[in-house]
Amino acid sequence: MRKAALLISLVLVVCCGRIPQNATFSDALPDMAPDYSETVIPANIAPLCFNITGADKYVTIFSNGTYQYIAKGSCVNIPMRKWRKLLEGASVSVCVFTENGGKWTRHKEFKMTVSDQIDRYVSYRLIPPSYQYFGQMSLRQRDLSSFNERLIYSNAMGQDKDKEQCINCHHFRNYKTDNMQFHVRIFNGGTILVRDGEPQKINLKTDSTLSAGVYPAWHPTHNLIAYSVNNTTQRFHTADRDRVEVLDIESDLILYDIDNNEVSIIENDSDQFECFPAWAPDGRTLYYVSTGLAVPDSVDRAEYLYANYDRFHYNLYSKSFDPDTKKWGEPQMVLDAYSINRSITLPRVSPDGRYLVFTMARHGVFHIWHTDADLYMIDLRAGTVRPLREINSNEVESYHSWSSNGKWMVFSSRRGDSNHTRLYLTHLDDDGHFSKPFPIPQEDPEREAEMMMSYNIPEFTVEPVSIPAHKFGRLIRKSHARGVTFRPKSKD
Amino acid sequence: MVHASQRDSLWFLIPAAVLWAGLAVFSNGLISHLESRDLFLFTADFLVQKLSLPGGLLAYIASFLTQFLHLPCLGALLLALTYTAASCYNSKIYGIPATHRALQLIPMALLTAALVHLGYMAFKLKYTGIAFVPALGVIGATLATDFTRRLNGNARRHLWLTLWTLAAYPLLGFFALVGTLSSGVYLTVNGNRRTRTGTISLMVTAVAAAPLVWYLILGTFRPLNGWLAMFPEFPKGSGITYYIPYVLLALWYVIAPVIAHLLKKGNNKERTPITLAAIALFLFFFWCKDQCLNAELRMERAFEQARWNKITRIYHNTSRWRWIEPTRLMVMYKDLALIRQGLEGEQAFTLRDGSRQQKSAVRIPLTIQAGRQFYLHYGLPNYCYRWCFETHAETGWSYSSLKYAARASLLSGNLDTARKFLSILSNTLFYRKWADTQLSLTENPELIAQSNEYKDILPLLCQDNWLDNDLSMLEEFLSDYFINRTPEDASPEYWRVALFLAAKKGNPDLFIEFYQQYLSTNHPEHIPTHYQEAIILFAGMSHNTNINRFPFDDDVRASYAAYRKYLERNRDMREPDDEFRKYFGRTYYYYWQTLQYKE
Repeated sequence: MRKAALLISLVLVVCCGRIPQNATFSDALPDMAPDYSETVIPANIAPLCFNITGADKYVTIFSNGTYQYIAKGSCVNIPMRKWRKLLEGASVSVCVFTENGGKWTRHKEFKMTVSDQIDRYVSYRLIPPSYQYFGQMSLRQRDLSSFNERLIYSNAMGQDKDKEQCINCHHFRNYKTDNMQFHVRIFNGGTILVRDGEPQKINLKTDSTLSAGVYPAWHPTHNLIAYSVNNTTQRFHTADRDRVEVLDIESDLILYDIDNNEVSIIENDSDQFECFPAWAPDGRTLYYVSTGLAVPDSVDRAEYLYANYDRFHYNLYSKSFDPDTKKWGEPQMVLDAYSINRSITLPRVSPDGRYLVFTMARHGVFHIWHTDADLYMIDLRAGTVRPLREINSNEVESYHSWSSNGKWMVFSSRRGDSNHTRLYLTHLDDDGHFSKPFPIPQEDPEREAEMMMSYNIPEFTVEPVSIPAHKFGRLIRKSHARGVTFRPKSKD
Repeated sequence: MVHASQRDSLWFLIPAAVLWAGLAVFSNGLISHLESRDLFLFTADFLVQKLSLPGGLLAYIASFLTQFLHLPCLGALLLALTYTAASCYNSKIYGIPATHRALQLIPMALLTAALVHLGYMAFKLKYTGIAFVPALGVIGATLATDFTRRLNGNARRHLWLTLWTLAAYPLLGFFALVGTLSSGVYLTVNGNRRTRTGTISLMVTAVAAAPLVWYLILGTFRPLNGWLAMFPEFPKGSGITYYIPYVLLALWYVIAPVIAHLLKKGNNKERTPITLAAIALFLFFFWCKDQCLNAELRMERAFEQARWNKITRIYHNTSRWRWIEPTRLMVMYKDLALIRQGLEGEQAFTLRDGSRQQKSAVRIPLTIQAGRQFYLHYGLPNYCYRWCFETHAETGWSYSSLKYAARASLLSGNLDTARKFLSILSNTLFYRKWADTQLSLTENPELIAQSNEYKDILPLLCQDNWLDNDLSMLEEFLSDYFINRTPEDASPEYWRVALFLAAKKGNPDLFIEFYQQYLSTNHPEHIPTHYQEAIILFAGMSHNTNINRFPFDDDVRASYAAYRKYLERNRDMREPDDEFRKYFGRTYYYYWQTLQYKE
């Protein structure tokens, strides 16, 4: 039926003289970037603009069976209103005609299947992919249903001359923005915690903990945030494709009780390096990763750890938790990566609690700098693990985040140029398989290729951040950050 | 008979020509450096990026013009013309009388002083197009006054001032506010008393409010910095002298209407010669006279052009003066240039060594100054790449960083990454050709080994991986790397460099060990003179070694004998003195003796 409609459309178009007649058929797809062929796309996504190359003239016909749109030129940019009409169908067929030397070719038609809605907003950090210096970095929020990108906060608003400021680890509670947080490091540092729409700056460092909070996990039902606390350093490879190795010299897990403004220890074994907490949706299990490496007393800890950097194999653990009594169970090994010489990071549980996606590479904790890092998924119900071959590439795949309906995942990858991280969207079907990933759409399809910044920590939200950037700026420029109290472990 | 208009033209033409010559001769290194640290792309994204900060249009146009500094003579001409245009326009609009012609040159002098005084700050600028921004900015400010002048009626003028401030601020930043103040002062001086209070109130309110309004709209900057957007920012601790020309420039534009007004009313006694002398003195004071920095910048340019003999020539010409002690960066440039020419064993120690501190209140690490260049040429592309990105984060992308990032990616086999940087450089005016050539290498990586640009680097390419950190200590890191991390299958070229660096270390055992490796891998027909000197020196120190069994040149034997005799005669010499230097300053003995003294 759809093919018939497309054929009729083509006939009409040809008759009307908008595309040339006598085009020869080709089995090859056109040279286009980004490649949106055979993807599953959200019903509310912004127009998927792309560039076609390799010919003198181009005509592209979009059709959903009842409505069609014809674009001319190598830069295919569909007006929003027309794109919305196209998305009303179950799928959008795309047929590209190219002309070379006066001869027209009709390329193999491809399809974009229109599926579930996606959370409208994705927040990320834009950073230069540097190591020691920060320069300008900003937290931004993109409306996926349009091309609008809004600034949440830029460190240019807070740093002054040589007093540089790093901003990181933005995190939202239950996909909403009235409870969110991000960290500011170094100059005027602290954690910016937005509670019921009111931002405040707190200092999570206590004398009894390694550092201020780092990687956060906001409890889904209670006013609690689990953090890792890390003493992180870096060294550089002289001749490896992975240029840098970022290691934790020490790391633990803490729990911040927002109501009581107190911090307590979750795990702090000195021979264990715990990191990346993630709550199960019911808030009764905390997943995290940990590795054990006993450092002899007689040696320099950092030197020893760097000499053994390839022995850092993080396993996946879980720990039961009663949010009412705040009592923790014993750590349970969920996945032993050490035994297969691999290292797990960034566990994230799907909103329905069925799947857990994590990043795994040969070793280490900072997989964004590990070329072999790929995404894997555990079916927690079936107890099976598999590499997500359908979305992995030869380059880094690292941070990932589920949409609130559990149907979409956004993840970061360096598959474009092996250096700059870009965001890709993929759809999960009922059988637990992801669709072909595609980059978040841009109005100028070349923007991603040209841009010299990396995307970092993509997080979905269902609503925009309503606090204006200058309000964050005003708070951050104040040097004061409210301290927290430390609650020691109870003996029982 | 010379007409007044011709005289006016000549008046600006002569200083412009002098300025052109001065910049082209004395500051060509700086001009070239400023270009290499800048970037202009013919893309919409680049424009949008620039416009996202107040003063973005100014930065965009300045970066466009900065690309022409690629050819220093043309760049100097462009700078001279821009500065002259700023001066000319200023004197025309504010009406500086002909009796005080020298005052007409003040903007030009201040702009020049701001540029030539930069010194080492040129390595730390978080600012693009610095050579052109102030000039274009004050031209913009003058434009505001020009338009104000042409309007009739205070209401119109006030409306214009308000619109100008609000609309020009995001485009010109600080200089838009200078324009507002300048126009306001012009109206106050030339207007009637009744409207003065209104003008002043409007001017102050507009200047105070515009950055805040735009802060709320853009939100991309610190509000306190808003009033100084596009006003150069130097690192903390760099001192106030860098700011003086810029402050005076802004001040001049604000008070120029007052000065012009007073001069018109006052006596018209010619004071040009005195003012000219003062301007010349001011310029002399501000012109960077650091010979070492100038040499470093010229060597940097020669380095980019792989003109190795020019580097040694600059080094020789600078260091031959006794009062100029070379900096470590100069020594490093010279050493690498000699290595590339295969002359390190013959000439490295004939040229004077040195370690003069940077004449800068803020120390610039060598890794920031030239880390990427040296790491690439000594075969450590990963570290080159790292410093490209550190520099990028610190001071923004530049032609130079992109070039080195592309080269490092090519050498480490990251062809996709190399393509990205090269495709960006393909959008530039002066690097397009180079980028296209390199892009062809990404399509045919097997040709990299034959490329003139890489054939000398490949034999040094680091093959063994380990984790390390240079801690921003470039020279020490490279030296330790070659000496302590020698790979088992090191190439002859690697041993040649390692031997040279071992000679520089001055450790006899180390040198002898590396010398053996050098002999067995390089099979030299003639042992370079400095290595003969080192061997004869170290063998002589070991009483068990019979130096007669080594094939030393007669000259070396003679110089060593003279050296021994000198030391015996001057047993109480505590440090290498002038006489010792006179006789042995061109030998390895002198270098080694100096090293012992330092240690």
